[in-house]
Amino acid sequence: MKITIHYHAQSRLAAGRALEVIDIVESITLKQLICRVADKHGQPLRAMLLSDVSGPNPSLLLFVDEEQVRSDSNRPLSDGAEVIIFSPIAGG
Amino acid sequence: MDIPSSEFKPLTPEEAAAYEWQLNVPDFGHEGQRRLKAASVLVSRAGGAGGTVAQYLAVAGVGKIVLAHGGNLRPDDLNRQILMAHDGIGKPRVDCAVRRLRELNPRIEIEAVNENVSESNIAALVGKADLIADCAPLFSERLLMNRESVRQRKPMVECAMFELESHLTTFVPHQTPCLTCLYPVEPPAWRRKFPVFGAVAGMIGALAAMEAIKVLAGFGEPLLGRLLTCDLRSMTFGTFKIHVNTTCAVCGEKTV
Repeated sequence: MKITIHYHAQSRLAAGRALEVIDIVESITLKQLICRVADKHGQPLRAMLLSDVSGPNPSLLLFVDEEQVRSDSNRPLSDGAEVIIFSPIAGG
Repeated sequence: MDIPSSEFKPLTPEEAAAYEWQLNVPDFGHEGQRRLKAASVLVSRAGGAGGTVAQYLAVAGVGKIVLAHGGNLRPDDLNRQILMAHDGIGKPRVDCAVRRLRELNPRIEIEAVNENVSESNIAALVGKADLIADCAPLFSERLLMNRESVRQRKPMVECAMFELESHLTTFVPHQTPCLTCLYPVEPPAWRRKFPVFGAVAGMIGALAAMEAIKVLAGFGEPLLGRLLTCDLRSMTFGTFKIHVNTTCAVCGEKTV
């Protein structure tokens, strides 16, 4: 199945792209997807997406098909899902 | 602000003349203007976004603006800090900002605080305002304002920017998510210095001012439980529903 990831703000710079389509054979949850792209891209994206402890950074703002989803969600993603990653911004 | 309109002072003829163009906005009118006249807003800080927020609140006739911003003006502030000017370099930013705001609208009260928000001043600063405009560049300051906004049950307009992107939402304690619902821990990757154009700051600051005006005057549909996202690189704008985190350490069920 295909999952599209839209990167925003610092995560866009760290990923070096605004959009990425991932082809996945098996079922995958949002949490697993975040870990997978962090491993795929390595630093600096990894530091942005993952917390020091383990798993996704709880302060990522994530949307799946426009619905807000917590970063530790174990909800399986469906074929064609659009995942939006907003890394936190605070500029003022 | 749930106060009967009879409680608000009338406009003077001079004020009515000064605000004539906005008095004709449907659902706003004289009552809305009187509500703004009676209102106070804490703006932290007076930089790219905050300066624009303060500017538009001032010309709209918000009765009192408390401006909290520490430090002296530097040359690299001037690509976005629209209340500042070259002759202010090396001088307190907040003095430059207040001078310009008083030029724009001498009818309103402006309180200058030459400090950034901190643990030691946050309760008093929030206590002076009906609404907070969060335009701080550090999450430590934002999360502090959020905590105090919830504690004092004051709405907070939240605007943020990075590069050509920006976010805007309005938090109303125990009605909407709060900042800690969105960001439960201080994001470690964020740095105070970030890439941005002044036009991005000005755009989101102007939108934030409009949010504050709507909340204070009680009209329109503020971004309650909705996050506006703007990407000026592609000119893409969107709104997303955002949800309360029931386990939020600041506004969650156990803290009510």
